[in-house]
Amino acid sequence: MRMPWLAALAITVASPLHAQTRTAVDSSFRTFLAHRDTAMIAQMAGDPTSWNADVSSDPTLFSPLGWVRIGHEAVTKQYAWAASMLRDELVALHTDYLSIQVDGDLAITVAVEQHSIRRHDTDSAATAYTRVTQIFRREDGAWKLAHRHMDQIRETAPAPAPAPAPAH
Amino acid sequence: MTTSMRRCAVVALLTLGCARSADAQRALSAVTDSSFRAFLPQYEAALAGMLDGDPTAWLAMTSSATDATLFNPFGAVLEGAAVRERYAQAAARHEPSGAKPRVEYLAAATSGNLAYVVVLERSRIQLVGRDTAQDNYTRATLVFRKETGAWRLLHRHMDHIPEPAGAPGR
Repeated sequence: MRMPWLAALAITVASPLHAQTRTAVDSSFRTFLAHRDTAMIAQMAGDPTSWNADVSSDPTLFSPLGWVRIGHEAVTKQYAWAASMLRDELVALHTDYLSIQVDGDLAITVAVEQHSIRRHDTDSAATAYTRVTQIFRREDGAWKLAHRHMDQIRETAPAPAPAPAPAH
Repeated sequence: MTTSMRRCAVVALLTLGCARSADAQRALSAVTDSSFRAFLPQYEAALAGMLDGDPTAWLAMTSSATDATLFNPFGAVLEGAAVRERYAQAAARHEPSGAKPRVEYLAAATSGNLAYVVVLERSRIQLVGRDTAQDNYTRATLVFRKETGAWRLLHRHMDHIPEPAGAPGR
């Protein structure tokens, strides 16, 4: 039996919803974001059902390990695989939104997520720091995740010039 | 529907001779926003400039708004004026070498004054202080916003993480 969601959820809007300065953030998208937080907690606790229910019919995914996935089957399988690596245990989620943009049937979020997760192959909880850009499209009246770009690269110091690797 | 949502075909890219996979062709097959379609070659040309050490065109298409953001490949999380500064610094790391990036479009769409593209950027570049050129592979998600009638880069998320061997999740 799946444990109840003991997840500690903290959503922080690090900056004002910038889109509000241009146009009001769609109320349906605000509601959807709250729903997304719940789906993410479940995903991080090993259950991809709700997460995958929100995936677009034609999505793309840049996973933090480098996977590039295109299409509903490949993307939802990747999300399910990621969930399968995680235990159904306490998860902490903290999301700092840098920017939320909504215009018509397109919405974009730029955020830094910090998760406390437990993998099946380790006893201790691990904290993941993830930079995330998400694209959402409204399909048949419902917001769907069309793209998620994740990486866990963390800046440790300002990059010197010249850098040891390409940047732009 | 208040706006059109379309998968992008960037016809102008064909003029750059970019090879694409079948997936990319599909992703680029239906863009009808003519202003965004016309803009995308500017993005590609600006990218070539960046990789050639010249950020002029890139900065010209970058939003100066306070809500501009950048996730660069070294982990930086930047907002506002810091975004433009970091782009200029990044360009300065590249020697003029005639870099010709190949952009593979995986997805794109527009709605009103908002647009995005999901791309793989491949190029051969010459870094300052290096003896030899090197291959460059970038996963990038770019968000554009039409500001006073012109498309501007509002957000860029990029990394150089290579796709690993094997296929978990497939």
